[in-house]
Amino acid sequence: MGAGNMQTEWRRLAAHAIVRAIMPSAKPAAATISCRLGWWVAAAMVTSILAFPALLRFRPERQAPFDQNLLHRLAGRGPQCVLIGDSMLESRFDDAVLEAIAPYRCAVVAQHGSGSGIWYLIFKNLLAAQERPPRSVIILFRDAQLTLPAWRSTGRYRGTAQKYMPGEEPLFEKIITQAVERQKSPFERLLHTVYPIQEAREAAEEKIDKWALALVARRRDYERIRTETNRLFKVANLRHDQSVDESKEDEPLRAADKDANFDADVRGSFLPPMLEIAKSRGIHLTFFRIKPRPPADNAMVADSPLQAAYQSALQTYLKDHGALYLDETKDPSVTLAYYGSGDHVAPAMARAYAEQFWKTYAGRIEEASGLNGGTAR
Amino acid sequence: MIFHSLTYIEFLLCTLAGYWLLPERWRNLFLVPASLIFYGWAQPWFLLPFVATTVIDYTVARGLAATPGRRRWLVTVSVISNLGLLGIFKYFNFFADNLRALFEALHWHVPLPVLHVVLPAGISFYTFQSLGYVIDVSRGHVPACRSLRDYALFVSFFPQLVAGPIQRAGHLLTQVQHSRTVTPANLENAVVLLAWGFFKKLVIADRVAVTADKIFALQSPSFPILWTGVLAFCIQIYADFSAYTDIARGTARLFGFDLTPNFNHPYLADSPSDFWRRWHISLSTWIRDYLFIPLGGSRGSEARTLRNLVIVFFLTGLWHGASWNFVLWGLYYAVLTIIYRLAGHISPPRLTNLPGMRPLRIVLMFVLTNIGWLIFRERRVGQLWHDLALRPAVAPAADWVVASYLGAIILIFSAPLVLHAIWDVLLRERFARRLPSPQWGWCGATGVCTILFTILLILYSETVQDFIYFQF
Repeated sequence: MGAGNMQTEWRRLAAHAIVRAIMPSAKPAAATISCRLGWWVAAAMVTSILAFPALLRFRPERQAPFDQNLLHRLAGRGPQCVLIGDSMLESRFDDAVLEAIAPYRCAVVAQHGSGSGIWYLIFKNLLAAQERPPRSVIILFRDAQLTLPAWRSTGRYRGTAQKYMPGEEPLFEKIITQAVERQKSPFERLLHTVYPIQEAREAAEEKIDKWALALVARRRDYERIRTETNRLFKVANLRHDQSVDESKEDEPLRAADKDANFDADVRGSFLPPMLEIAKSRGIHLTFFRIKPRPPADNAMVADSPLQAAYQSALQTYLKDHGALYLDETKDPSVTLAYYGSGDHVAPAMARAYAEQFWKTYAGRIEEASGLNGGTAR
Repeated sequence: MIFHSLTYIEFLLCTLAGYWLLPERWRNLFLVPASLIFYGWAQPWFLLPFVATTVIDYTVARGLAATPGRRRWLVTVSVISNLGLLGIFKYFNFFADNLRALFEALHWHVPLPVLHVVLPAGISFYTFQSLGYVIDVSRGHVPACRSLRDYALFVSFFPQLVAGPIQRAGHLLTQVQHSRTVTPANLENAVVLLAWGFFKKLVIADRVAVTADKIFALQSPSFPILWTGVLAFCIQIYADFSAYTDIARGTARLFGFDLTPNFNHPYLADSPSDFWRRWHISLSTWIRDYLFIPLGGSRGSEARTLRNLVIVFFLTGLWHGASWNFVLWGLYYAVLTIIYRLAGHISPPRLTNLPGMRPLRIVLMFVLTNIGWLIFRERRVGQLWHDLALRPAVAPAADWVVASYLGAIILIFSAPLVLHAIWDVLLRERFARRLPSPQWGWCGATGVCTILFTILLILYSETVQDFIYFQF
């Protein structure tokens, strides 16, 4: 047998072995020249599709600068009490209403679509960083939100988080990274390691957004169009029976109701650093659990046993660290009449809600934080 | 289990490995429990009605083969059991709610029960597939399947179980009963279908869904905003459902099966009947063969044909969901089909055959399809009338700007669909003829799939939505 024939035979056997390895039951009769070549091409096809994206790398750039204006505005006003939260806070309170009902200066820092990671940044970089920090800070939260550090702090929320980052935030990054890693299955971790190009998502989204704007407007109008779009979709414009917070993106919050474990989750959350900063800067923290939209008959909805245990552990933990825990979920006076879309308060009811809140809870907050009506405005 | 989850990828890899490593005679037996695991993954009780349907229809078909004289009686058993299941799980509360409303209007106080059950995923698909098999056996089109294992695989084969395409026994059951192989060409085809399917779902459908959902959550959108939302939904539902079909077909190819296609560029339809020849083909052909033709089809008088059209479209609408908007959507197509049919009788052929008329007809049909999607998407009938009465003249200028911006986003994300349609309709054949060898076709497919997979990794939507047709 000549060397050429030997080589051909060897190739035939190798191709056959690979075909059998990939598809052990593929018919040997199919191993004609063209079919063998076909399997090689098919293998090359699958390999190149899977391999090419793995070679790509992405270096993330900062998307949003630190919002100095907010820092200066707060410094200018020098509030003694500040409320932090997401759209739940935004729909319940605003500066003007608080100005009218509170005997001391208050401010609302509401960031819609935010989670505990962003609240930590707001607290650390806007409030605790003030020369004269506020005496009391109230954080409005839902259920297990305080121990879901990655929720609404990563991905497309990254740009929002950067608005509250004056520089590097190693602790923030560490907590977020650990939380994200914990949520992933080993297969997901493998995928993220093999394909780091996924990091380019926010930058790509930003680019597509700019292409869309470039198709319809001049560069100077971009910001105006974005503002108009946000105005259109603000909470007050939503259908009242439309629960935006029952959307897919709130799944982690709902899922936490089934596996919430405060003692296991608190170490990897932003609660310990927030409480530490509060202690060092003499700020009293109140964590206020808002009541979700009640049913049509305003019947009391009991927590699941897991959620009840979680809230009890959270309350004890906060008490041990000098913070106050308030729970509105059992308050029968907060009826469906207050609600607009989902868990948001209707715009027409915001003032009534704020007054009700102040009447019910201000005393306890003032007593715990040392704030009182006599504190100078 | 849903296709666009890592759990599914893990499941698919394990099932593929097990399937091809087993000797041929064990493969069907292996796929049945694998399919049941897939189906019962989230809600194991979904398996109960599914197993009931499978066993009843298998037994009925065997009975048809053994005692042809009792054909009518046995088919009735199958029809009652399948439609009974659908009636209980899908339509019971709808009819009870409407009866309750009627009684209240008449000031009668009749307590009616409410069923607190989740609709089993895919029930409308597998009951139709199973019922179709029984009818085919009763008509002598296919022989009754002897093996319960093979029949169970025909109904439960996981790629098509939850949202079709609804398979005919003559097509899928025959494949189940014969040996299967995978060729390199099958593999290439499967890879292309999977890449394109996942891309359409995760990059196109789920991205434009964000715009559609936001707009349909608005209390009172203006004319430009509403119709931008309708356009977004139009892209979403096509990308979403055709993605499911492509993933199902691609997955089936990996196991050596061929599933029938379900779409043929529906937005290039130039009439309502053409639309239904291109949209959800497996359902429309099922309805045609098992309902429209038995009713008499278009063979009788004109009045009888129109009556049949109304019945067929009414039931097509109702098949989609127990809600009045789906019924209205079906009747809307009945009206459109009747108008087109009557117009076809009176318009001179010279006019319809004029050059440039077809693009105009396609544009007109696209507009009419979007009106249909508004009816389909808007569950509140009261709001629907309000939406249809909106006038462009009273919309604020700012809304036109926002609508054009949102429209541009939709356009960018739907560009691959447009390019695919151009390639498929205009260029594919010409390219295929000019290729020096088939390997060039593979190179092209590899390049396109690599680009699709790369974009998918970067741009897959973080707000992952269920497939729309899961709810039907």
